[in-house]
Amino acid sequence: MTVQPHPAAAPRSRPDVTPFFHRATHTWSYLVVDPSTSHCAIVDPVMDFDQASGNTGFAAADVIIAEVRSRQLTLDWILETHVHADHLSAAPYLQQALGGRIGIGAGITVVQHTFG
Amino acid sequence: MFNEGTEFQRDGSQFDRLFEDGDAFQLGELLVQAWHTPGHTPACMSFVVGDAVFVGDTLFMPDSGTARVDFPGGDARTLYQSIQRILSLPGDTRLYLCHDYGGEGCREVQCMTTVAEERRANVHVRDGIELPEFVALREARDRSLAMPQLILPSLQVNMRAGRLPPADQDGRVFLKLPVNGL
Repeated sequence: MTVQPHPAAAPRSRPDVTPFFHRATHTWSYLVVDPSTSHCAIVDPVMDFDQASGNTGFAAADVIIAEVRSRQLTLDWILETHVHADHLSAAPYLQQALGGRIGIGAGITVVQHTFG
Repeated sequence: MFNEGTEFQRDGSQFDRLFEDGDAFQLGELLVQAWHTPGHTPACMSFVVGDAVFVGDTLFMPDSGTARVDFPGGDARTLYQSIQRILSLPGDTRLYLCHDYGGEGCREVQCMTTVAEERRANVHVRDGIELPEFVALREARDRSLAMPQLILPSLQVNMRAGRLPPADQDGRVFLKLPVNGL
């Protein structure tokens, strides 16, 4: 009789993860790479925002863009874990530079009704 | 709260994809699962990729506990259930956090911990802390917290998928500051 391994015991895939720390807001953004195809996702990218002046900036996002380009990765997804209340997202800036689709939880509509 | 009027779409159409709980999609040859993990906010998701999970604002480093639940739509009981689901994964699962404050300045900032380490040592949800105790801890902590410095600009931009509000006829963009709105 052949013993089948339990699915939970199967080895799990191991994505390559590069963290980026945004010091002003203490936020971690991530570049998640499939090592076998070089397709990647970016999780929770941050736009710089100086509240005193009202100025926006993209220094933090440019660091991630440079990493994607230097490793010749293909960006498939820009993922937001939620509607953040402590930093501004750089998702559209990254999408313009690198492509990919912006995704968020379907609960966004609740948040839009609450705050819109 | 921001009196955005009828031109602001509230159907999520500013985004390319809205994930429901359990949705799965490919990243190259990797499979990504989207888990709805609300509690901090109603829209919170965790993304499970192989042995790694991007947990957003649910768990923080063990010495820092969990995300606050005092924003509109937040709920301590809901957060506890979401966290239990994450902590049911194998002990060596890597958990990537959205924030770290270095234990309020006592250590270097860190971005990753594991399910086993959270279950052993998380100050709010380690093994043995049941729901009522968690709710009491979480709600007491929230009463001591100020609003995040950037909450008002963040919400106005992030609910538009990171886009600024529409410019006026002269190309100027404004963010609102609702008085006594929060």
